[in-house]
Amino acid sequence: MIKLSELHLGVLTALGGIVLLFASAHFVALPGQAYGAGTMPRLIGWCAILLGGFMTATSLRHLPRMLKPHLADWVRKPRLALSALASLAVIVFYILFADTLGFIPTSFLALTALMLLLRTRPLTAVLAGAVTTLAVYYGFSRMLMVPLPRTEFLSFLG
Amino acid sequence: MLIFEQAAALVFQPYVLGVILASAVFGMLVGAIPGLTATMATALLVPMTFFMEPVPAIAAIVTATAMAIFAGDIPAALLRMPGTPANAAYVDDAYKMTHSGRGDEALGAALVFSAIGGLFGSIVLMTLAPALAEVALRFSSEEYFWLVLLGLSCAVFVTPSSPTRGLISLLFGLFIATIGMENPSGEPRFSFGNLELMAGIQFIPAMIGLFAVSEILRSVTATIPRQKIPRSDGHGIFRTQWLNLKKYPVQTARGSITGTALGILPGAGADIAAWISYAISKRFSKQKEKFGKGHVEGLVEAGASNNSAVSGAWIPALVFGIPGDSITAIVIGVLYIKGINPGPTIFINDPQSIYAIFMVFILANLIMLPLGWLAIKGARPILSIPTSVLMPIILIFCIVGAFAINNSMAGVVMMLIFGIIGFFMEENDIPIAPAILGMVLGPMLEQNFITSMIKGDGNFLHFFERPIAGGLGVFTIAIWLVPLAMLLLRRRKKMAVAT
Repeated sequence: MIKLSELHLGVLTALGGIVLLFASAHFVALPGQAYGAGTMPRLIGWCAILLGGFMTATSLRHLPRMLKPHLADWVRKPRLALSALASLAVIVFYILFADTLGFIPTSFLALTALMLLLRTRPLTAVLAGAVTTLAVYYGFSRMLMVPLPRTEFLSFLG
Repeated sequence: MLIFEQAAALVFQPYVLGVILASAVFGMLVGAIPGLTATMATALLVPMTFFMEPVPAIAAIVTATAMAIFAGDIPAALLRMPGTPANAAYVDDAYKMTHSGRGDEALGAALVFSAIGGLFGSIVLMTLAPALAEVALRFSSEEYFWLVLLGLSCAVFVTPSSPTRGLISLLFGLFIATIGMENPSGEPRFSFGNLELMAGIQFIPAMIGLFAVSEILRSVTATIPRQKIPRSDGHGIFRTQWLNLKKYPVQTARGSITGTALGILPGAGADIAAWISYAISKRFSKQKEKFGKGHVEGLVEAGASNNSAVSGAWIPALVFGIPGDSITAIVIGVLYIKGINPGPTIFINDPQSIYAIFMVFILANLIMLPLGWLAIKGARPILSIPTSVLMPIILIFCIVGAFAINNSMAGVVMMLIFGIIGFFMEENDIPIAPAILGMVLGPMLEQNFITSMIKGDGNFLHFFERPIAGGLGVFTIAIWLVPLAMLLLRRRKKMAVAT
């Protein structure tokens, strides 16, 4: 993950403010009033521009140091970077496949795979994955009546 | 008296007591695991509270947070890893006490003084909140506008990194609050035709993402490995505390008062309360040199402070509907979902629920003593669970929790997006709390601003016409201008010295 300096954050904030001003330009006001849907976004936009401008101006004094973005320590360690990506990939996997595969297989696969990637021993990963999946399934689906995604071929479990 | 009896009937029933006990254990578990915060415990609890009546739902959150803040002292003392940010202030003292064979004294002090602080804060909450509510009943949109602005300003000024970063976070939160159709003219904003976005950003999945998912990412990318746990058998935890109480009565009272006061201040929660109390304790101590080297004095004061802040934060939340910290920000969301609108009218419309919440506070802080003792005794196995097993388990809870809010995958998508945003923010020292306050208070700020502007026919001076509104306005503007004036004065002095 890139660590941004005060200068980068300032420029980004000001740009965000400008985008917000443009994006809220077409919002209409309340009938007969000068205020409406655009008031708040425009105020936020102007505040962002002022703040970004202030941050940029004050950080110009330290220019050479502020120009180069730094990398976080973990980015240089492939294993840790992979762990972060895998954690996010597990959520994406769940979003994409839970409705097709059902909660139990998706959750079990996601949990076990992530534990293995984080270097858990295979047997522990499989056991912890299975126990957690079933506990969450019964807790949420049966006790709290949350309609977790399910498929017919594992319907005997629920 | 009848209200009191009705409140007692709401609390003292097997189901609610069972919920309190279960959430106490849950809070202890989350608090004791380094990296997991009390806010995260609340965020994870919210999907469960959806299926409860208002009183057990709030009881679950109150109990879990109080327990989590105390339980954070366990890894702080045993591993030098504060369980929650609120325990970080005195981690060196607690850890060094453990390593010099006084681990039980350190943990006992954390437990007993947390309970004392929590009880003090609860009593203040019970006495101050109804009185403040009577005043708040006379408030109109102008007073609420300034109050919200005051809360948002405090959240920015107490940012540990820098106020500018706090302000970035706040503006981001305010922007998020503008998404959807919930605005004065009911026009869709920033929804890109998406039906889910038209309803606005779902608060709870966003919260789970910002706090829990970002915490998971931080945990799996941590470069410092965990340390070995020293032995602590849990004997004699209470033995030395009576002596500590007799030796440090001023520190105990001061920590409790400071914590409650800072808790009331919107934006400043238990974390800041602990740091400030520790600093005050050191400043006025006769043994300053011992601080940070295994001295119990700072632990007593800051330990009382962080738990009293938890109770204090509920005062603005219940009386004005303005969250005192990120936990009460989540609670306000839960209250709205449960059909209870936080604000002064809650004391008129639903007094039995309010008194039931007060009773839960007392109960939670009392059961902290026996449960805390058990937690200290059983801490080793919990702390031994490796991150590689724990984090995936928490992640699946987050996914299901975000899904359960609306039984829709959109919640999970939102959680993912906000998880990445939260991680990015924390990596860049941008605090999350102001963003949360912005998300919660944004609609209130917008509504009160536009209502007042329409009432005042576009004249901004209308905000100063009512006496309380005028006072609050002057106070808020002074909060903005005084630091700027100080900065200019300091610069002028420096320039004068240079020339």
